[in-house]
Amino acid sequence: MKLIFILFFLLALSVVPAYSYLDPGAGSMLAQLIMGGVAGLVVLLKLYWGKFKSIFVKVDSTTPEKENSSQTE
Amino acid sequence: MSFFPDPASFRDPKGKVFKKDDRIFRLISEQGVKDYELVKTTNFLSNMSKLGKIIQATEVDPAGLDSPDFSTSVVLEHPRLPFISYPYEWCFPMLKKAAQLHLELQIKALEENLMFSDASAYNIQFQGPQPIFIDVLSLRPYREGQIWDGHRQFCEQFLNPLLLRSLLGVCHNSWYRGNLEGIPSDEFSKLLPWYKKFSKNIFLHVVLPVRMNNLAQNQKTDSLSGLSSNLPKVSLKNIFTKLLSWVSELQPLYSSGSTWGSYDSMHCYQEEEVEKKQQFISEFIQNTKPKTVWDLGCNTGEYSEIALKSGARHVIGFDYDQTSLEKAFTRADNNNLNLLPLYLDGANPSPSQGWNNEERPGLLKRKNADAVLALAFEHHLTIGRNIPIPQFLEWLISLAPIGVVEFIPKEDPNLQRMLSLREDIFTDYTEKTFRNILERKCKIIKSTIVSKTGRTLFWYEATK
Repeated sequence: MKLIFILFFLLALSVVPAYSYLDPGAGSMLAQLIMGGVAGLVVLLKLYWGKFKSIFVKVDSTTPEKENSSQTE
Repeated sequence: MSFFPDPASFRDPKGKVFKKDDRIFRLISEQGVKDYELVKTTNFLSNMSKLGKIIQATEVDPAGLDSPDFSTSVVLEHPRLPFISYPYEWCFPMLKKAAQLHLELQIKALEENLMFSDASAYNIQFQGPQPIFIDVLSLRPYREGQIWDGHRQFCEQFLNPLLLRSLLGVCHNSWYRGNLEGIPSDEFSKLLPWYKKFSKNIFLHVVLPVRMNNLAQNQKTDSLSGLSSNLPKVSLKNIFTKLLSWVSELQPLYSSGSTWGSYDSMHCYQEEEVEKKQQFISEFIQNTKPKTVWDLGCNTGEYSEIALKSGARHVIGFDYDQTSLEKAFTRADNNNLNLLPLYLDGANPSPSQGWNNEERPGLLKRKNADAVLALAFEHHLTIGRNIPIPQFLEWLISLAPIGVVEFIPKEDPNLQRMLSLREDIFTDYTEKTFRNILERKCKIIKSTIVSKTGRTLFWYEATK
């Protein structure tokens, strides 16, 4: 478990910040899933795989516009 | 119109808060009734309200309220709290206590298969030093696998402001007041030294969500949808309990000492002076019998306590020194006093702000004092902030029609210290001028010199 934790540290700290915008709750959701354990690991790997794949695949320009839903009660 | 909607109650379509005269009602919309009925079957609300952790909510018959809007809805009535305060007016231990209450309630709610739909610090209020949760409608049935929707909000409104003080020694109040929604994790994490980011809890609750958010920004929305129902309940509970034990350990970092925190113990006042002041305040309260007293410059709450013991029902103390406020809060908590100590810069009180500039009313719109105490306070504004004496007194009298104000003469060592490095532009600053200006607006009921340096207390009553 400790090894996985260290792996997460290194992976997360190596991410280059992006300045586009998505639901700001997404970060919290993913962090919770990672804290939640195995399910989180799968999610994280899926995300990194997507990022890796996007280097080779042309970005789809028809992606729906992402909304800001930062206003919560 | 006899029912006034609360200007801060607009986010949740499941219900709205209305005020009528001195009564507070919560209208549950058709969308919210189903959840409310489910929540009600658990008895969680009534049990927590018996313990004083959640505000009481009594169902009232909408037909009896004489409002056509309410006829088809469930309507709850809440008792009116003595004063509404905001997290940017709280000191560290207050914000911490509020955070602890929120997490304790989350843990207990989850045991009953309930969740809070948000984690807003504005949903917690204080009765004296005791926090109480006020938004009963944010309780919802728990859905299997759901994540904690309020995590980001909890971090921004409770955790980051506490860490700002605990890790960096910076108080949260100004930043919080400027932003209202708390301290954003992405901005806060930029301030953290790199080695702090490797601490497990900081990594999990501050660094990781920011990094994950940046990562998620490159993903298509559909790759994330559906993930929010993948958290095992046991993991969710674990997040709450670990966060609670971490928050409970947080302590403020005192970097350079406080201006007035040691005032009380510096023996700046002679014992005789303290006694005279106590007697004066006691006599004032016993004679005027105010229900609510505002103690401006309350320091550690010594005279607030005297006011309460002399018959005042509530005291709201104000000070700009955090250490003093923390001591006042501890005094209230330990001695079970109905004292609410709040952060105030007298020259810049909390403004009306938020949506439409109405969501969070300014301090002066919330004034509810029957009497004010302003002991060793006047010189901070008239000398420290150059506010002319007539303006200061007019402001003071506008807060409540009766009060006690202390005049600090130039001969006083504290005032000499304040003037030691600056030009003395206050040529008219004398006890005689102060008294004359006060008499233009008020009747002076009693005045007493309480120190050898000539500090004078005035008990005044505004003339109409």
